[in-house]
Amino acid sequence: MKRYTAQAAAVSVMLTAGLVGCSTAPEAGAEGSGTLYVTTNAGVNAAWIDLVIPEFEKLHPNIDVIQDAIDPTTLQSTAAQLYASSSAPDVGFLQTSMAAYATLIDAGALTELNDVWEISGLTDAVQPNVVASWSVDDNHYGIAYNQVWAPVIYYNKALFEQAGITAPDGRVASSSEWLDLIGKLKDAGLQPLAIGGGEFPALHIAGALLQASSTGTNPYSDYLTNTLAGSTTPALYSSGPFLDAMTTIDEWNELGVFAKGTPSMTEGQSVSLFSAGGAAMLSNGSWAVQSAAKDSPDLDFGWFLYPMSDTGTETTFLTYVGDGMVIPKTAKNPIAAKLFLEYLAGVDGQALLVSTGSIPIRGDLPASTFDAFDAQTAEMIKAMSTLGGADIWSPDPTVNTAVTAAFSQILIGEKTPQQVGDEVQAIVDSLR
Amino acid sequence: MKLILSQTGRFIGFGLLLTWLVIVIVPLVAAVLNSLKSNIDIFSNPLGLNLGDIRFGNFVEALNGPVGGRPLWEYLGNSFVATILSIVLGMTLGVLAAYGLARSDSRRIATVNRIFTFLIAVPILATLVPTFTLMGALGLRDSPVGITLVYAAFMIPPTALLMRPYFAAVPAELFEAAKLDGAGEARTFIQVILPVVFPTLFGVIVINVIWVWSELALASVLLVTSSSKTLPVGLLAFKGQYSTELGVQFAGLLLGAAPLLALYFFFSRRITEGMAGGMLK
Amino acid sequence: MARNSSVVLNGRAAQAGKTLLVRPAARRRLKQRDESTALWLTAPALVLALAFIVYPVIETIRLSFFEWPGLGPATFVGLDNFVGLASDSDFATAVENNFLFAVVVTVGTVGLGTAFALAIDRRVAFWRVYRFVFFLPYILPMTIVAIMWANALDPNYGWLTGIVSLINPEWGVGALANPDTAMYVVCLVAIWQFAGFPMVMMLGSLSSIPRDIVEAARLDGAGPVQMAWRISLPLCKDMLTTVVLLQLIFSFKVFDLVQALTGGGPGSSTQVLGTLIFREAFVEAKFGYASAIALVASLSIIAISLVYLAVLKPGRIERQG
Repeated sequence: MKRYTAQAAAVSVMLTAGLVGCSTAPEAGAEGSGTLYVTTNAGVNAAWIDLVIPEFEKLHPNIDVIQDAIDPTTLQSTAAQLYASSSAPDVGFLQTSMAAYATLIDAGALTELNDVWEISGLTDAVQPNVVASWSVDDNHYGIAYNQVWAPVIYYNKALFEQAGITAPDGRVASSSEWLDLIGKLKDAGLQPLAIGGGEFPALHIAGALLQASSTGTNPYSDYLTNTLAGSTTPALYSSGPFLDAMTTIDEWNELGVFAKGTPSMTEGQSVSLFSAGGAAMLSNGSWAVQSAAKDSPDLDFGWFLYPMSDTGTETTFLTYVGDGMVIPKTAKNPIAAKLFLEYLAGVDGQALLVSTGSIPIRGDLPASTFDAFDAQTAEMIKAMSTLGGADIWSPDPTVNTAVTAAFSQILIGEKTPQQVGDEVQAIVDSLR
Repeated sequence: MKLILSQTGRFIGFGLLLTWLVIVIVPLVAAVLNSLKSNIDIFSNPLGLNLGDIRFGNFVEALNGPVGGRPLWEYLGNSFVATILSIVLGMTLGVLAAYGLARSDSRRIATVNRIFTFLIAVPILATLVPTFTLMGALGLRDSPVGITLVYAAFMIPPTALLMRPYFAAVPAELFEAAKLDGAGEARTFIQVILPVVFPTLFGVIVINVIWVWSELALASVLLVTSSSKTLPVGLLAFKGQYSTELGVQFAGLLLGAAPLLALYFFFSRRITEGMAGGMLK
Repeated sequence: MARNSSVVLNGRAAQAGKTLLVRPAARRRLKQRDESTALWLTAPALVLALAFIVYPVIETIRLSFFEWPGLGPATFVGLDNFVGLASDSDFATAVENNFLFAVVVTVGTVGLGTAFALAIDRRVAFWRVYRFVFFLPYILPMTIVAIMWANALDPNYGWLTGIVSLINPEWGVGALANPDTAMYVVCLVAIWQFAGFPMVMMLGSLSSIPRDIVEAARLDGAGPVQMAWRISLPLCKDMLTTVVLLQLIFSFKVFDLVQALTGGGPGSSTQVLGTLIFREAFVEAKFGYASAIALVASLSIIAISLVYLAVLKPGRIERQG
C-alpha cells in the first residue's frame, strides 16, 4: 500500500517536472550490492565516470564502484579479448565503430540491455537514429551516452582580425569564399588549418567533404548505408562524390591549407598548435572546445562548418553517437551493473556529462543543464536547429582505417585520389 | 706531418665526444623542463622554461595517478614486486641453466643449448594473445605471479646463453680443488664458481632489470585492473581519448624512470665496471 | 688498473686449455655424472621456457594457418596468409625498413659504442663523464625517449627542427612527417638510445687486454688509431661479434620504440615487422595473418643468426654443438 503510493507520487513528480530518471522507487531485489568494476576510456569518459561514482554510491550505499581507465590504444586493441574473458569488468566502454563491438556481439559476449533502455527512458529521450545505430536485430547491447559533432572548424579570432577576415556565420557558403579566406591567411603569413592528420580527424574531414560533394543522384545518406552487407545503392567511391572529396583534399594540400607536419600529427598536437597560435584554424570536433580552452584559457575562438560545395549541397553538423557502455556476459555483478547503466543513461548521469564538455545524448534534460556549457558549445547547440545535423560518415572499421591512412598518403604523395577511390571501392565491394 | 695528422685526429675525436655529450644531455634536459610546462609551452617554448608558468602541479597530478587509475606509488610498488620476483626467478633458473650448459658437452645438452638459442629469436609481441589465453586459463591474470612467470621465462634464454661462456671459462683447477676439499655440488657452485663470474652476473642482472622495469606490451595485456598494473602500463592512461596533458605525462614518465636513474647514479661505477670487468673475451 | 683475477686466469687458461668445458683427459664416468648434473641444472629453466615461450609460439604457428578475429571460431585457411604476405606491399615495406633499421642501428651503435669505448679506455680527458653519461639513455624507458624525440622534431615547434632546417630546409618540415626521412630518423633515435650498450660491453673487453701488450705497442710507437686497429680490436673480436649479433637480433624484434615514435606512419613509411604484427593483430583483428608475419619474422631472425655465426665463428659453433 505504502509502496504503491510512493510509486504513484514518484510518477507524478516525473510527469510534472519532465524528468525521467533513476528516481523510480527501487523494487525488491534490485538494490544491488557488492563491488562494481567499470572499465573506462581514459580522458573524457574516465572524467565523467569519476564524477558519477560518488553520486551513484550515495544512491546505492551497498555498491562499491571501482574504475579502471585504459588508454584508447590499448582499449581498442584488447577490448574484444578482455570483455569476452573471465576477467571482464562489470561495465565497460565500447564504441559502435570499433571492430570489437561487432566481434563481441557476434560471439554473444554482451548482455542484452533492452530493459535498461526502457527503465531509464533512453529510447524515448533520444533521436531515432541513435536507437537505430545501437540496435542489432532489434536488441540493444550497449547504452549510448553522448554525442560528438565532428568536424567543426575553430578559428582564432585575433588571427582572423589580423588577416582582415570576417568569419563566416555558421558555415562557409562556397568554395570560393573558402579559398579567399585561405588566401588572406597565407598573405598574412599564417598557417591556415591544423588537423590531426595521423588520427581520426582525417576520417572526419573526409566525411565532411563527402557530404559537401554529394549530389541528388548520389546523396550522402546512401554513403551511410552502402557499406552494409547486401546493400545495392549505387553510390561509388572510385568516382563521383568520394573521388571529388579526395581530390579536394589533394587540391587543398597543394594550396598549403594544412599546417606543417599534418600527415603524422596527432589530434592532441593539432589542438596545441591551434591554442598556441601556430595555426589560424583547427579542424576537430565538439570536444575540442574544452581541450583548447584548457590549453589556453585566454584564447578567443569561434567556429564554423566546412564549406559547401559549388553544387550547393549544404554541410551540416555530423553527429557521432557511437560512444557507449556495455555489460559483458561474464560480468560478476550484473545487477549492480544494470543499475549503474540506468543511472548513466538517466537524467542525473547525463547532466554530469556537461561538466566534462561532452554533449549528452538525451534531449529531455532541463534547460538549466545547458547553462553549464561553455560559450562555443552553447552556440553550436543552438545553431544545430538551423544548420541541421546528419549521421557522421563512419562506415566500417576497415574502411575507416583505409580512409584515415589515405589522408596522409595523399598529403605525402604516396597515393593519388583515384588510387584511394579504387582501394576503398574494393573494400566496400568485399563488404557487400 | 704525423704530428699534425695525429693532432687533427685528436681534435676530431675530442669533437665527436663532446658532440655526443651534448646530443645525450640536451634532450634529457628538455624532457625535465617539459615536465614543468603546460601543453602550450611545451610546443611554443621547447628548450626554455616559461618562468611565469612553472607547473610543479604536473608532478602532483602525476603522483595522484591518471583519472580512473591509482596513485603512482601503487604502480611503483607493483613494478618493484614484479621486477624483483622475476629477476630472482629468472636469474636463478637462467644462471643454473648456464652452469649446466657449461658442465657438459653431451648431445642432449647441446640440443638444449640450441633450443635456448632459437628462443631468443621469438618476439614477445607475437606471443601476446596465446599468453593472455593461457594466463586466463591458469587464473593468473592481474596477478604479479603471472607476469613474473612470463618475464622470468623470457629472461632465461639470453641469460643462459650470455653466462654460459663465462662458466665454461672457469679453470678446471678451481673446480677440482673444491672437489678435493670435499665440497658438494652446491657448495662448489655457491662458494667457488659464483664469485668468479659475479661481475658478469651483475652486468646481466642490470640488463634484465632495465627491460623488465620498462616492459609494456605483455604487462598491458596481462594486467588489466588498475590495482595490479606496473608503472609503464599505469602511465599509459595519461593519454586520453581526445587530448593529453603532455606536461603531466612527462612528469609521470620521469617519476617512473626515477628509480632506475637513482640506481644508476648510485651504482654507476659498479655497473659499468661490473659489465666491463667481468666481460672477458 | 686492478685486473680481475679471472682475466689473468683466463689468459693462462687459454694457454693451458684447461677449463671446465675442455677436458682433454676426461674420464667417461665423470662425463656421465656431469651430464646428469647438467640436465638437472637446466631442467627447471627449460620447463619454464617451454611453458611460457614455446607453448605460445606453437599456438602462434598454429594460428598462422587460420583466420581469427580474436574471438569466436577460427577459420582454417591453409597457406592463404603466407600467400597474402607475398603480395602485401605493407609487408614488403616493413621487411625493407626492418633490414635498413637493423643494418643502420647495428653499425651505428656498435661503431659509435666501440669508438667511445676506445676513447674511454685510453682515459682521454673527462673520460669518467663520458662513461657515465653515454650509458644514460639506455636506462630510460622507450616511451619517454620516443615522446622526447617526437617533441624535439615537431614540425612546428620542435627545438631540433630548427637546427635540422639549417642543414636542409626541406627536412625541417618534419623529419618525422616526411616519409623519405622518417625511417632514418627512427634509426637515429634508436642509435641515440642504444649506443651505450655496445660501449659498455666493449669497455669490459678492452679492459681485459693485458697491459704488457699495450705497453709494448706504445713503446713501439703505435698511435691511437694503429693501436685500436691492430691490437685492441682484434683481441676483442669475440665480444665484438657477440655484440653485433645481439644488436641485430634486437633490431628485428623492435616494436616499442617505433610504435611510440611514429606508429608506423606517416602512411606506412616507418612500418617494421613488430609494428605490422601489432597493427594486423590488434587494430585489424586479423590474428592469423599477424601470426604468419610473426612466424616469418622469427624464422628470418634465426636464419640470419645461424648464417652470421657460421660465417664468423666456425669454431664456436662446433664447441657449442
